[in-house]
Amino acid sequence: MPFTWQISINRSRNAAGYVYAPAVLDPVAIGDEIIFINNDSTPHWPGLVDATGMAPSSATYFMRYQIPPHTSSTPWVPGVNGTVSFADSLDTKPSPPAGTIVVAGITTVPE
Amino acid sequence: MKTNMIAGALAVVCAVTAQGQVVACPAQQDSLINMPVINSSSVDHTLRATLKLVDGVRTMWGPSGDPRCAKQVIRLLQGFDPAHMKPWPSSGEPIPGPTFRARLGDLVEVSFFNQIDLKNFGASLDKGDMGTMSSCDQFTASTSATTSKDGPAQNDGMPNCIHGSSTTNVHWHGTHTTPSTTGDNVLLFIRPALRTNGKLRPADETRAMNAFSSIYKACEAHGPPTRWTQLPTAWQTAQRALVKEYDSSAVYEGKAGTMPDRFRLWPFDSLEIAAGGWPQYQIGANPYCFPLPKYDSTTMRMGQAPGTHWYHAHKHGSTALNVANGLTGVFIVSGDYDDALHAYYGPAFREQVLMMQQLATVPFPSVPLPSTVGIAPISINGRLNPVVAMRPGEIQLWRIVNGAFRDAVDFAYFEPTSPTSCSSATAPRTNVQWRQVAQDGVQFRAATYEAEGTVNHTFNLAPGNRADLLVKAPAATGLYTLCVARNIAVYVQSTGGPQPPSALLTVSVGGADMSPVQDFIPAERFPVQPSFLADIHPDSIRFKRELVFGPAFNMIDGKVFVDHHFDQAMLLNTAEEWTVKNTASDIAHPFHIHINPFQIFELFEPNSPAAKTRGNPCYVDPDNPATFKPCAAGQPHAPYIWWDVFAIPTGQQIDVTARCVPAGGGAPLLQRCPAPLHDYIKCVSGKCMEYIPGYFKMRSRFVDFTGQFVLHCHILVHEDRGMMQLIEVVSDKSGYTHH
Repeated sequence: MPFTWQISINRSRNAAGYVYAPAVLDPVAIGDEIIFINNDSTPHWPGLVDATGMAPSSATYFMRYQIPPHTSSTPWVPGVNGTVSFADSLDTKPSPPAGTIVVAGITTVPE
Repeated sequence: MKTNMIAGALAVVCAVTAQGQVVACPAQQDSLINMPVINSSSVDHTLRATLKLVDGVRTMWGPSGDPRCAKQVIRLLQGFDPAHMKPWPSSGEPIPGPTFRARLGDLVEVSFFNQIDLKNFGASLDKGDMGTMSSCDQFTASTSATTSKDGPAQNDGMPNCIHGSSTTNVHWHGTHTTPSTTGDNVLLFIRPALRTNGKLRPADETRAMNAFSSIYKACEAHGPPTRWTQLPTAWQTAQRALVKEYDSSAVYEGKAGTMPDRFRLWPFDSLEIAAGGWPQYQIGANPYCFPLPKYDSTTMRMGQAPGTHWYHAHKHGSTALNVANGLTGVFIVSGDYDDALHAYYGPAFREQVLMMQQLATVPFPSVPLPSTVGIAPISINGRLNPVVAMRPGEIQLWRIVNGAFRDAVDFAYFEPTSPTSCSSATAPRTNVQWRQVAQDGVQFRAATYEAEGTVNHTFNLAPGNRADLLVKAPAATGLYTLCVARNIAVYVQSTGGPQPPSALLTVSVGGADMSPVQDFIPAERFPVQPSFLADIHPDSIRFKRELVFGPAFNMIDGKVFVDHHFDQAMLLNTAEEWTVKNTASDIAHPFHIHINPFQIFELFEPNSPAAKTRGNPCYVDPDNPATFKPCAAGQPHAPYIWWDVFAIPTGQQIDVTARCVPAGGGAPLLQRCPAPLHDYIKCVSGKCMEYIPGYFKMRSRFVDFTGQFVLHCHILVHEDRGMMQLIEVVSDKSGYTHH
């Protein structure tokens, strides 16, 4: 069965005040589940970044609802291979923290 | 920029590895892990334990076709003996919960705490609008690298969907006890303990322990409570406050404290309490207290069967996921049965407790997986293909539990370990030998031991089944692989069926020879079966009923589980005969009923090789209903085996649409189908299908305990998604008088 991965949204001293950890999740396979854990004291709502690098539209959120502080999201499941960039739609500041999920199929892990 | 991205990616890959998420897979053929054991007290005959459900990081392996292993956050059980407190093993292996050992007549007092940190798992709610997907676990799947789409699990609806995934309870599988209050009560929903600033509140646990102490004293004196109001007022008050606090703070649609009234838990609890019932929803902890009744013909119709039983999570909507996380443990009830075996073999007689699991963090894929990826492997006690040590010529008692959430395991053969183990059809298979001595925690009678427990007699262990084996090591030292065939049906109509044999475990034979040489216990010395396990006589049957599983994966008798609705009601202290059918052609749904075991006396397998071979006396001719009957060969014989799980044989499905179209054309009609087959054909949506269901017939006694409990498919995702019925045993007494 697929694996489950976590991306934490942690408080940070950077300008945005938060950071994704890990900012790049790799390797991930089709069917794996990814949940976001909001360790921040404000809500977050990560979603796919479109081709122009703009904040995600309502059709491309990772989850239906924003993630309240100190809670977790519902899972996001990659259905296709590719590299997915994401950012927080609630963060309207320029150049908000971004992250990447690399969906690259199942590869052999060295023993 | 591109270079920076690659550098960044590499750095994070290292970070992921440093976090310990993706790791090298553990080596196979490591020694068997023995779960910590908690014994009942021989002084006051009480099993006391604290069972904590927490979360932690454990190394999990991918399914077949996925070579990754990874550190995963899973829900897991820890057990503690209050009299001999020892820390729970902190190794990274996903071992089951503690093994409980008690004796017939003992009292069970297990303090259960749900201390899962919800934040580590996907958001999940307990209640929702019936039939809708409102609170089903939702996921969002990508349909490309730049788009996503919400997707619940297929077309599931509340309450028959994966939901409430960190809410649970404990099913004492195989116990003959009350299904109510503090007994084998699977209707409870025990939510995780509340937290403040992310931390557990020690005062809540202390308050629970104090209350449980009083509850156990009352239970020791009077038996399990019958009403919630019999519990200490402080506990009632505390639970009310906790449930209300949850209701007012829970996250709903992305915002805390906004849960609609109809989703709140206290309104339902308060109604139950007002009606004299037991509140369904509790927070953080629950006391389990019930006796393991020793048979007494003056007070009971049956007793607890001594044998290998188990416990596992069983909250509708989260059973599969929690069992897949590993919320299982072995529960051994000792009695004359194992006393006799130990007496026969002497003090050197060793037992192996083997919990088979199918560990995963996702009970079924949310999106189609690559065709090369299979399902989760079967582990034993937290390891793949572990090694059991035996001395040459030694006989051991193996207590095997199939705690997998999906797969059955057909025990095929042992062969000397080699790179090609389990792949050769001609390898010598006369080395390690076994004889089965018990099924589902109920010992065989000597006659059954001779008929069914023959040397290396293959058997299929469906999820939920247990088997006790006497296993004999050969005289030659070496490694021997136990080859098994995983399956969800031994016989299927067309494609599917058991997978090729694969290694389940390895026996390492070495050390000093056994002296004197051991052999299988002769039938005349076989433990005497308790009298209450005598066959149920046909003349005692008060009622007959029929249940039909399938053809949909989530339906019994054509419908999914319905909350608050009883599908079967049985009169206390009566015996019944049930015909349990399966119209699925590729899945042998494992039928399981709580509280009372049953005896199978007839079996119809329409997809057995004999039934599918023209000219064979057992051939099932789809055009001739007279052939839809059991084959004489392979029928159960008295004395019958007791079961509490049995995989219902698959049926045949034949598309007869073309034979049901009116002469002038148009939509097919049942009246136009061949008349002899009308009882077997259903015409729906322009298609007519003939169903020849497989079935078994069983007899069971609904004795000693009234109450509400369930029957269901033990492919646990099917149970969660609706293949379950609420049933009740009702009193045979009335308080009214007419004289």
